[in-house]
Amino acid sequence: MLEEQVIRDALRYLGSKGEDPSDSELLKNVFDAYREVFCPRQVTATFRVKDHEPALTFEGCAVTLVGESIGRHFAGATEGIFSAFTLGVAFDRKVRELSLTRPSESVALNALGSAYAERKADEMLKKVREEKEAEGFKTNFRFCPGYGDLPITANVEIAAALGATKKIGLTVTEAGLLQPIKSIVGVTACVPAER
Amino acid sequence: MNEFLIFDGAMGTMLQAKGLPAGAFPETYNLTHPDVVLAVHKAYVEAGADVVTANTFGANPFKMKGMDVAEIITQGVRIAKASGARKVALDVSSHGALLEPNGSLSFDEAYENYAFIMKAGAKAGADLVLIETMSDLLETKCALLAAKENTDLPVYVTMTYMEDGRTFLGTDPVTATVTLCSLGADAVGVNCSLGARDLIPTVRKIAAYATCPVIVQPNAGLPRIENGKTVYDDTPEDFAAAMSEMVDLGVTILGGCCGTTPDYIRALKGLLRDKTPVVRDVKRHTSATSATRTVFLDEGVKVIGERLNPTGKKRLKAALIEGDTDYILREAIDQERAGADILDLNVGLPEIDETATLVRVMKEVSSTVSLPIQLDSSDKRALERACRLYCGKPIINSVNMKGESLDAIVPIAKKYGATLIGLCLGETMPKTHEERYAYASALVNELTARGIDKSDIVIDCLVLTIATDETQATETALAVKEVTEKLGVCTVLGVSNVSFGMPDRLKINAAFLSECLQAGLSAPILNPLVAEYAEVLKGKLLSLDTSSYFTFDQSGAVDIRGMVLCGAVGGIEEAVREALKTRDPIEIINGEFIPALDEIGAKFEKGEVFLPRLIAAAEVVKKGMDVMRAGGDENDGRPDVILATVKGDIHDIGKNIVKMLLRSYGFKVLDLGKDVPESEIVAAWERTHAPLIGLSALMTTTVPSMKTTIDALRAAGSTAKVAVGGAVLTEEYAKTVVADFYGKDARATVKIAELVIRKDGA
Repeated sequence: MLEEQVIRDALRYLGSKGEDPSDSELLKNVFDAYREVFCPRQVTATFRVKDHEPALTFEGCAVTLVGESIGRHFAGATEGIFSAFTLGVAFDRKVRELSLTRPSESVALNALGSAYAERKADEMLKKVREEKEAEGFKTNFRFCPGYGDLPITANVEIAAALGATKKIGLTVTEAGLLQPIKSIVGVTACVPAER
Repeated sequence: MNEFLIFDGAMGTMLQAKGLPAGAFPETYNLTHPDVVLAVHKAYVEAGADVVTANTFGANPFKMKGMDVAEIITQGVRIAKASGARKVALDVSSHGALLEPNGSLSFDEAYENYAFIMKAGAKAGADLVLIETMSDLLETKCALLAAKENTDLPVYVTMTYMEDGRTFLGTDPVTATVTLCSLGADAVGVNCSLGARDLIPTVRKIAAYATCPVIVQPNAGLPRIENGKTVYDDTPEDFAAAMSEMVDLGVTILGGCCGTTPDYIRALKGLLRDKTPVVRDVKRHTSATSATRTVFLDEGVKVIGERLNPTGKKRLKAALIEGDTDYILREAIDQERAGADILDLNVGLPEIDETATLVRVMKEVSSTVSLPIQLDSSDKRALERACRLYCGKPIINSVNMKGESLDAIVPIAKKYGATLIGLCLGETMPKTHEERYAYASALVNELTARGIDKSDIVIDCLVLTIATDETQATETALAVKEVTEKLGVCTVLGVSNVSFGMPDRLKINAAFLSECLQAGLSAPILNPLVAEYAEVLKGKLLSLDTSSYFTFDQSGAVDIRGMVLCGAVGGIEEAVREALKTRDPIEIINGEFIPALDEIGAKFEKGEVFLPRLIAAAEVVKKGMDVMRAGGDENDGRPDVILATVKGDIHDIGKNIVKMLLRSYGFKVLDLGKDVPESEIVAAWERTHAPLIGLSALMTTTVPSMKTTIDALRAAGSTAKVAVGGAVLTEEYAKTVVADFYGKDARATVKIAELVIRKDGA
C-alpha cells in the first residue's frame, strides 16, 4: 500500500499542485504495476563519538566528518547512528526501460522512487532511533553528505564503515555519488536526554 | 574432486574483534599488525583448515589509492604461507563500484586492476585464486579472465545471493554457474549472503548445473545489532548441521564467511571426518545466458529475435549510423515483450566501425533487456571484443567449414565459453539434406576436435530461398530432422530466408516454420512481433503488450490536437496517416503539434498539469512524427542540439526528459549519454557543428565539470550556444559557469532551442 505522503511528495516533484485527483490515481496505478522493482534495503550501525573537534570522529570506526554544519548537528551528541539505504538496481533499470517505451510512466516512477525512498528510509531508521530513545537518548534527523558544508565525498567513508556494498549492494563513486540512484546515506546524532 | 577441501572462516570480523576500526582497510594490517593476521591464520589451521585465505580481500589499487597495494598483497600472501596451511588462496573481491553500463567503471580499467592483483599474488606464492563476495556477473567475469590470463593458478569463484535468491544486480545462481563454468572456473559457488541453512536452496541449484567442483562459504547466520555490536545467531553446531546437507548435495569445498570463527571450522572438520564426497551427475545443457537469465536451447522451442539486423531495414541502418541508441533499444524491448527468448545482434554495415558499434550496442541492449544475446558477425575482432565484454554466455553466429572461418572463430568461442552456431556451408553450397547433414556432421567433429564441448554446438542447416529452387524448404526441414536425431545437437534456422524474392512471404514463412518445428527445430530466428508465427508456435509468443498503466482521460482526443493534449498514443498514427492525404507534414506540425505542445507546456508551467502529462503529449507527437518520417521526411545528419550529462555525474533522467521534449518539437538531438568527458563533447561539436549544446548535472560536486566543458568548447573554437540545467543549478550558478542559457526545466530548454535555432519548419 502506497502511503498518501509518498503520493503527495511525488506529485510535488512532478510539478503538480495536487488539484487534479486523477493525478494521484495514475501514480498509484504505476506503483502497483511496477512494485516488484521497489526493493528497499537498509543497513545501520551505531558508534560512540570520540571527538567533536577539530573534526567529528567515532570510536572503532574510520570515519572523519568535517564541517560546521555536521558539528552543529552533533552538538552534545555522544553517539551517532550511521545508515545507508537503497531501492536497488532493478528500479534504475525499469526507469530506463520505460523512458524508451512509456516515458510518462518513467517520469512518474522516478518521482515515486524518490518519494518512496525518503519515506521508507525514515521508517527503517525510526526503529533504530526508537531503540536509542529507549536507552535515554534524544535523536535528531538523518543528516546526509551534501547538506550544509559536509562534502558529498563523506558518503565514501560512511558507506565503507557500514559495509554497505557487501550488505545492501550500495556503491559510491569516487566523487561521492551513490549507485543505485535511489539511495540515501546519512548520520543521525544521539544526545543524552538529560542534556 | 575425490576429497574435501576445507577453507578457513572470516578474517574481517576477526580483525575487528581485535581492534580494527569499522571502515578501515583490514589489509593494512598486513604491514602494521602482521602478528595479528598470522594469529588468525594459525587459529584456522589448528582448527583444521586446509586452505587459508590471504588478507587481501579489498587490496585493490582502485580502492586503496596512494597505498603500496603490491606490498600489501605480497605481505598478505607471505603471512598466510607462514601459518603452515597446506594451501594459500589469494583473496580477490569487487571494486565496490558498478561497472559500465550500470555504473561508470570501465571493464578495461577493472581488468587492469585485477591483472595487477593477480600478478602480485602469484608472484608472492599463492596456490590458488579465490574470487569471492561478487554481485556483478560482468565484474566477476573480468576478474576470472584476469586470473586466467595472468597466472597459471586454479581459480575458485563465489557470488553472494540475497533472500530472493539473486545477487544485488539480479543474477541468479543457475546463470552465474552456467556462465562461470563456461569461462573455465575451477570451482564455483556461494559465499557470505545468508546463514548456511538458508543457503541450501541456492546450493541445490548450483550443484545441479556446475560442471566443476562446488564451493560454499556461508555466514554464521544473518547479522543483527545487539548492544551496538554485530552478532550472528548460528552456533558452530547449527553451521555444521546445514553444511552436512550441502555435502550430501555434492559440495566438496567448504569454509565460512562473516561471523564464523575457528570453532565453526573445527565443527566442519569434525563433520567431514565421517563423510565421503558425493559424485554429482550433471547434464551439460546447450545454453545462453544474460546477466539475469539462462535460456536452455535443449528444453523446448526457443525464439531468437531477428530484428536487430540492418539487412533490409532502412530505419535501423540509419539508427546505427547516427548512433540513435534509443531506437535500437526500443526494437530490443519490443521483441522481449513479444516473447523472444534470445536476441540476435548484427550491426554489420560498411559505413561503421563494426567492433566499436557491436560493443556499444551490445552493452546498451544487455543493460536494458534481460535476454541473452546472439552475436552475429563474421568480423573476428568485433566478435572477440564483444564476447569479452558481454555479461554472460553469448551465442556466436556463426562458424562454417571454411578453414579461415574455423581458425578465426573457434578460439574466441572456446576462450569465452560461448555457444557456437555451425552453419552448414563450406567451399560448396549444399542443396540436398544429405549435403547439409554431411556439413553438420563434419562441423560437430571438427569443433569437438578443436576443444568445443558438443553441448556448446548448435547447427544451422542453412535456409535457401524457394524462389530459385522449390525443394529447398523440404530439404532444410529434412536436414533438421536428421541432425537432431543422429547428431543429438540443437538447431537454428533463419526462417524468413526461405521466402526471399517471393510474394506473400509471411504465409510461406509460417508454413516453413511449422514444417521445421515438426522436424525438431530448437530455435527459429524470426521476427517475434509477427502474429502469423505465434499461431504456429502455439501460444509460445505473446502479442506485443502495448497497454499502459497510465491512461489519461481521452474524451477530448477527437482530432490530432486533442490527441496530443490528452496523451492519446493509441490513435495518433492512423490520424496522422489520414491527415497526410490532404495536408503537408509541415502544416500538421505547425498547425497541430506545436500549438498543442505549447498549450500543455503553458499549463505545466502554471502547475495545472503535472510532468507525466507533458511527457505523454510529447510521446504522442513523437509517434506522429515517426509516421511522417516513414513517409520520406528525413532529416539531414546534423543534429540541432547535442546533449550530455557532464563528467563525473551519473544522473541522466532529467537530461532524457529534455531530449524527449526537444524531439517532440522536431529538434534533432544527439545524446552523448552520462558521465561524458569534455573531450568527447568537444569532438561531437567539431564533427557536427550543432548550434546548441545542452549540459546537465545533478550534483553540486559535478557542476565544475560544466565549467571545464564550456571552457574546452570555447578553446576549441566552438560557436555553439551552451545551455545548462539540472537539479542544483540556478540562474546565478549558470552565470558562474559562463553558460549562454539556463534551462530551468525541459520546457524552458525547448524555448532556448527555439530562440537559438529559429526553426522555420520541421
